[in-house]
Amino acid sequence: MKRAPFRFASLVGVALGCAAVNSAADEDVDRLSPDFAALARQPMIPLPFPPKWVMAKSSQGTIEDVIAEFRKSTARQPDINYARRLFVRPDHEWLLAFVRWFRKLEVSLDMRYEEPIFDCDKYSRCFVAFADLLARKGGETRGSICVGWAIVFNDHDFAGIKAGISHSVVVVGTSDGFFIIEPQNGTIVPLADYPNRDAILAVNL
Amino acid sequence: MKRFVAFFIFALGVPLIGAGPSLSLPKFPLPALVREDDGGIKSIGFLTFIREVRRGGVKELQDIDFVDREYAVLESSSLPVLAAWLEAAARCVGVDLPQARLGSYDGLEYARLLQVATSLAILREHGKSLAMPIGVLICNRREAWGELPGNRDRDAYMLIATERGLLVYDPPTRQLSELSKFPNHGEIFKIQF
Repeated sequence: MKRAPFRFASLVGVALGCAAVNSAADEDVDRLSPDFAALARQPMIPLPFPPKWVMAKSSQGTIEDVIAEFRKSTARQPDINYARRLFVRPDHEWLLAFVRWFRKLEVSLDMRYEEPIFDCDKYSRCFVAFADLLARKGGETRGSICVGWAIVFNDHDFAGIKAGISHSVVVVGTSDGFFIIEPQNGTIVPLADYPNRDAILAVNL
Repeated sequence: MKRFVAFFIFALGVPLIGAGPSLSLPKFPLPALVREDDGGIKSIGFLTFIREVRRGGVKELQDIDFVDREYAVLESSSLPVLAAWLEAAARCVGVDLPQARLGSYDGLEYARLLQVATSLAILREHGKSLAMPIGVLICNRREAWGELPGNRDRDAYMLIATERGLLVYDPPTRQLSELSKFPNHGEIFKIQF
């Protein structure tokens, strides 16, 4: 079991000094030239066979749906950070298959808890990044899937992680509702049953 | 013999039931990290970030999060390989990144992917290291930035700490800017590392 003596520093509402806003629309804009030649010298990494994306059973939702779900299920609504307003909610069976696949991925990529380069928030971000990738691989073009990583203060033990520390877990909205996943061991519970639901500080979709 | 062949074919097929097409990714990109004079990895904490954000002209920032206490600093010479990896990885899942804004593009997705990929690369090669300084900013694009119109759309870009300071990168357009020259630095409402 990998534990997470999680370190978290957050500054909210910092008002900083003003600076003039220059329009760069008419100026030359720098562009990066990707170095594909250097990349071509690197091998490809085969990953375990991923579960097939189930587009027919997935459905679209909005950021307002996500906010409403947290308002309904938690006593204190967390900050919800997002860039897009539309999300695709995956089929729940696909999510369960993905959770199993992520355990195989962990082995094949030699993924392990190592603070701070790969600690609890990186585990969560990794889960989210690969869920996004598999949906894209499956041809999902309607938007990002409704999966994000959350920062929580553990009021209670959950999935082998002790109470009294800050931690990171995954939040997913599926065809069956919203769920919390501990990405380090695959434990999954409905948001409404997650013992630390009222101590979620932020959700990053 | 026939039974053996039949069993062999069955055994090959069983693990693939319910599986999608195979997936490979380019080897995760290992960025060069800025070093101190004594050879140690240069680290920056959130106070340095705050100073850089301030120098970058960000005003009235509502929300800035750092999940780790200290971060490494990337050599900007690594960025072309990181950009190439991101585009190649996107191609592996059928996404043509330069055309991605024609569809449902989400900048958070790609910032997260690159942060994870570089973290995994360092983990595999070195085991221990500081956190990767690849974050994200979310802003309202009030001002045009290169080919991106100033239409007040909410948008997300990568924010990368390098020896050149904080750089803003947009993967589909490959546009790169120092934070101070990013035309919407006054419209940023979220920064997260």
